[in-house]
Amino acid sequence: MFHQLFHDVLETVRCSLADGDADALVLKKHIQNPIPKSQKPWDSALLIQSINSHSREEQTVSMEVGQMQRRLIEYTKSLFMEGILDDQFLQLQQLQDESNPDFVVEVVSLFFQDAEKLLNDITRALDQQSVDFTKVDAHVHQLKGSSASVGAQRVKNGCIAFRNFCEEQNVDGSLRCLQQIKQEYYHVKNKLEALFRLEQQIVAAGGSVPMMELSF
Amino acid sequence: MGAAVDHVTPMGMSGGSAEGNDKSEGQRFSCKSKLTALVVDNGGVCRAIQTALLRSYGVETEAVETGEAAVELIASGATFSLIIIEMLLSFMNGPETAKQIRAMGAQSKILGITAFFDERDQQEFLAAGADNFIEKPLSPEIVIPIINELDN
Repeated sequence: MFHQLFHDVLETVRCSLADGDADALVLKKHIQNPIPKSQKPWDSALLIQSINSHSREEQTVSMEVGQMQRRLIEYTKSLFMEGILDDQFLQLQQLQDESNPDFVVEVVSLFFQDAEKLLNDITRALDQQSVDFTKVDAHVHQLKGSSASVGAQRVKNGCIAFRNFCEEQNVDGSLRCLQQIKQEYYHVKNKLEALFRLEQQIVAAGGSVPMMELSF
Repeated sequence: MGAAVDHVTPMGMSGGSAEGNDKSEGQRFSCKSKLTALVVDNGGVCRAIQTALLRSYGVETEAVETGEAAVELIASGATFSLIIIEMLLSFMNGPETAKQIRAMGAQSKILGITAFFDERDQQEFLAAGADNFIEKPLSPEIVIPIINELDN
């Protein structure tokens, strides 16, 4: 009964809040993340007590950082669920620490540079009158190795399919497949750049970047 | 982005094991003896990742771009516990590099590595003196048993 009463109070307050009211904004942020009804009523009381024990500014920042962290986790999860990234990306994150604080961004940036060069090289090689498939093979070999090493799963898989066309010396098939790889590459590039932007926002807001854990 | 990290469990995965070098548990797998490694790879991304992985286990690691550079380094007296050599290097290929390193009397463990596993490449590498041949990416599951072996 207390729990229902609490929710009714929050709903009433929400309706009467004026925009721009500083106090209201803090409480509004709390309302926008309502306490699930499944929680026991005394959890709500503890939460209110905890909120009241910090300054309003700290509470606001803390809630914003929390929201951003949750968004980052959900976003990262979605990249794995969609098969855009695989476990190897988690390995990269595991290698980032105080002595190597920007490792993931540095390696992924290197991957972007390498991949774009290799894709251009492959395009040029396939455009020749007489295609040198040994050269094409060497480029796709390197692209597969680097995409596999950063966890760019769809790019890696595209390379596997592409190599099959190369072995058959099938120029048309190779060209079609190359288009596919380029699409997957730009897709993962956009996604990873968005992920890094989210991380930057969290750090700028004074929070820390949550990292996924591995299990073997 | 270099800020302190919090480790969370995603997607129902359980916490990392020591084998994964899970820092959140405060356990860090590390080699017991002083081990050294050389990474030979013409790809900057693979060089960076393999080097970082080995270093995270306490292995002093260097990286070069070509088989020629690796041979020159060893000819100048450098010794390594472990040498990881990419199959398709820019000039002298992986197996030829392994052959020349063995011809100099190097006792290092040699691991051939490639983007596309091929049995003929495997045979060529092993015949040239490599101890093992794997497909990228280099992973803790591969590296940790090798380090344990070298430690003992």
